[in-house]
Amino acid sequence: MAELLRVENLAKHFVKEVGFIRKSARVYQAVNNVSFSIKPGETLGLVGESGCGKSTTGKMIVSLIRPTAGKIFFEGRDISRELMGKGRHLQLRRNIQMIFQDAYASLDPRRTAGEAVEEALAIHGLYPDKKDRQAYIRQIFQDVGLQEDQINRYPHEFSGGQRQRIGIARAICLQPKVVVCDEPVSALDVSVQAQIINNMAHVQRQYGISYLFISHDLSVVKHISNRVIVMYLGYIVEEGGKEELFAEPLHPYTRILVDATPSTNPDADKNRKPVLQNEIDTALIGVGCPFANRCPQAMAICWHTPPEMKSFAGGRRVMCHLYGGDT
Amino acid sequence: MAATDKILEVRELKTFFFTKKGVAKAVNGISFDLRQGEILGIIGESGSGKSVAVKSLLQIVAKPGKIVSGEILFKGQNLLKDAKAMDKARGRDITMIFQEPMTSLNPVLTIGRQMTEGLIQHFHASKKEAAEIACHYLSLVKIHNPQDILARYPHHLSGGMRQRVMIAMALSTKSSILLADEPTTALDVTIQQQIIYLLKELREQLRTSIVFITHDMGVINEIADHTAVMYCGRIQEYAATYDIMKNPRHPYTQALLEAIPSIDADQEVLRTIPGFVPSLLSLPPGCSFSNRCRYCRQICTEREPDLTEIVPGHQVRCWNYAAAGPQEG
Repeated sequence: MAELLRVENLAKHFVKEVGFIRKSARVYQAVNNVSFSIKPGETLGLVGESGCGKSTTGKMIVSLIRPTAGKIFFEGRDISRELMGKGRHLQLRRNIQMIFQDAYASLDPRRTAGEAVEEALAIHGLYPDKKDRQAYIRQIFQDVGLQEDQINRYPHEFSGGQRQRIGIARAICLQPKVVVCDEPVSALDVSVQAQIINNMAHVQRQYGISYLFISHDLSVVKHISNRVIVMYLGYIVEEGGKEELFAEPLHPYTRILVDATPSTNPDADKNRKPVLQNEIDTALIGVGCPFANRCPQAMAICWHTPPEMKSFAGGRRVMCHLYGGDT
Repeated sequence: MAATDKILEVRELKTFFFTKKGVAKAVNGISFDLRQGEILGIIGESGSGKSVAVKSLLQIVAKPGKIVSGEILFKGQNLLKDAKAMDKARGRDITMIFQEPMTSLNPVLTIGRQMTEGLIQHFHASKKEAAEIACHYLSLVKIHNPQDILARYPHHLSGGMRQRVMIAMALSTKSSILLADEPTTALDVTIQQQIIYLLKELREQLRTSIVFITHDMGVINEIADHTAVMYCGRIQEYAATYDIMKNPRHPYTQALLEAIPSIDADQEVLRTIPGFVPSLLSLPPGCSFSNRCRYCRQICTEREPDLTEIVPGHQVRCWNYAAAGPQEG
């Protein structure tokens, strides 16, 4: 299958000015050397803990953040430059949409749910005929599991789950090819979370959308994704098909993450001792393995040589000195 | 459970919120026992009343909330009747930690100042003694440089470290009950695992009893000895955590467990609970879960079932198990 979206060596370094009299710039390397691709109709999960750069990566793809370096290809075409310009990229924006964690914050309180969807259609000049447009909006509302009579309600009249449905409606009404979902179910109650996850899967099949599904919750990512990427401190440390990655994590960090995720199996061993020690150390970026100071299997080489990404059969990749790799 | 001595008995506790729109029965008659060294998990979604329930134990429910009736027996004394006993117990024998430690720590005071304040207040300790006790408890929560931490301000610490400080502070008064309101929800999973492990270790070491509130079934499974499932202000099911997870009886508990994706299970489609948690101001008549329950019958919409013990140690509030005996499903 051809690639729909490909990201090559994407990086984002935030620069913050510090000091008052003697000004100097401090650089925060949020994302480093990130490369991956998404195929049509698939869901790529992106997991990692806070500060690992997963949201920044998502925002760069929808051009909410300008990358410091790297390229983004959409359907084989380099769009990284185009996305940052004005006007002409409307078509691109239509194809790459986003769903946010806090649906309430991303909706205009003075606009009804229907108007929120309608605005997107108007900007892109779709369904210029009012009757067609209304019919289409009704269709979209039905697809995301909202009632027809809710079209004219305001965001505050909806529950959290319903608001997220509006967010999904707004993203899919343009019939995009890729939707970046940034923690779309993290703020929801468990019973509602399942509804939204199922609905996202339904909409994906119906419209043939690819998802980049960003989440800190491994259980959710495992459920919804075909492939999974694990990020740590701005780097992709591992990628693999979801079955293989969760059954046999290669990178020590992935293993620790999987192990730390609480299980609902009553017979699971509940006295697993946490192995992750220390805290994130940004000083290791570019010097050695970013995970060296917390890794239970760290070797001498890990402290002074950054590991390279090694590829294995079946699209498995891991950035760790423990592995030799096929190539 | 080795120790069987009850340290806290809660009987028919009711906390209502008197709002302009009506009376919200946030906690509507809950009863439970807490034994020494036990970790009791309370699980529920937002609006289930789980936070209000533990705040009621300390009588720190903000207006328009009010404890309407019930008994809270701590070491035989009814704290609801005895304001002096409550003042003595609050922050000393019964302490609390919260979801976001940054909001409960004062940003302009050092950790040391905040940790010693309670010790000086409750035990009339000198500053030096208080600092020594603080150091001791900081090392108990696996902070390796306690002296150094005492001089720091909250913003110097990471989220996990702040929660450790909160736990140390809560335990440093030799408290016998620790109320933990979603203490790991805001933390990364690896840090959450550390905190859960730490709380279990401290329970073994200090024999502290813990009431642990969460919305996460996985976390409950990892930490709690017994679990109470709350929905709309009432306990719907109560049993040993193993039994709740292995053999959930209440349709709501069953639905909750089927609705969450699990890291070690394969589910094609997640089972959903239709609708959403009803507003406390407009609860359905009869059983509060009846409008979302897949086994809802006539009687469920007419009368509310009682919390009934269906097998020893397993209580369920559901008509399916009443009178006619348990029906599978």
